[in-house]
Amino acid sequence: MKDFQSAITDAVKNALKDTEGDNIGALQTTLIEQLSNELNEQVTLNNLKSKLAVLFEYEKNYLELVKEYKEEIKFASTIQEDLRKERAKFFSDTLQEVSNTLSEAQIDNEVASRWLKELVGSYTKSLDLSSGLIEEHTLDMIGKIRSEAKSNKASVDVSNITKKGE
Amino acid sequence: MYQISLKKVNKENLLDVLEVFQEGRSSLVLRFTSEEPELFGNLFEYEENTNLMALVMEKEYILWINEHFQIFDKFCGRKENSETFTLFKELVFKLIENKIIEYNANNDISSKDLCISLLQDKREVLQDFIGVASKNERNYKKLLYSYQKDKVLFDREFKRLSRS
Repeated sequence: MKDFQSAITDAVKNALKDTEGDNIGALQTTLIEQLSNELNEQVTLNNLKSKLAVLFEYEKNYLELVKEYKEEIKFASTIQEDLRKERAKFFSDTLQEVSNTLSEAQIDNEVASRWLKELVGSYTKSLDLSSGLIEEHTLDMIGKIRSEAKSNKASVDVSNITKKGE
Repeated sequence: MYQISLKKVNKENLLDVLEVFQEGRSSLVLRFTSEEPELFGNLFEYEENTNLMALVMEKEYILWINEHFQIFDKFCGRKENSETFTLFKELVFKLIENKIIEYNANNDISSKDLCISLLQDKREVLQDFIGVASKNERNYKKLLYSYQKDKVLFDREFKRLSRS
């Protein structure tokens, strides 16, 4: 930026070197300021346009990927949600239902309590295994999306965008 | 820890296995909510005997693992999909492994040796399936018949402990 500023100053001084007048110094300063401001704005705008174009390309690629994997994402989200609901239902309703059955059948309280604990252990173990399976499937899908995003990334950089814009 | 390979798992295989496990959980709950006579009979019969009650618990757990194979057979048996079976088998393998680890860490479990031995038998039969492309009929039947075999072995253990 300093070189850019020096170049403008040198150019203005050169242009005005043979000009005579009382306010030539003030005129020179005003010209340098105005030219610097305008050219700076132009350069900043061009940089911004390039960056926005890169960002746009990135977003476009990601949106296309999300569109391509829409059904997969929906599927993973649905099965995760189903399992969460089942877990919540188990602790909010099912366990109470089992406890009531044990109580109504007049099973000894201590025995009932041990069996409820055992049931929670077995049930959650199975839920956790299912959850782990879903998680691995989801991670596998995320891996695929990331891998595709990475392969697209190579085509999206400033130089490519600039070339396209030319 | 045993790792599940998901490289070839598609949505259908995944849903089938999740369904089998969900059905397994439902059947576990149903044994209580339906007041399953054999189970509830044991709950009364051994309420004063901690060791035998613990054995009833282990029996329930091992028979529950066996039940997963019957459920799998009911839901997916006709499909003859080796990928679904591989995934299912690996998940059951984890269920067994978790329990063996638990048994090994706990010295208060009655008939610990019997339970570990039954689970190890199942694990060995399962290991035979690993790497096999399609369901091996002979090994598969071995797993299904183990349901009856485990029941009998548990009954013998009950009698032995009751006598002592």
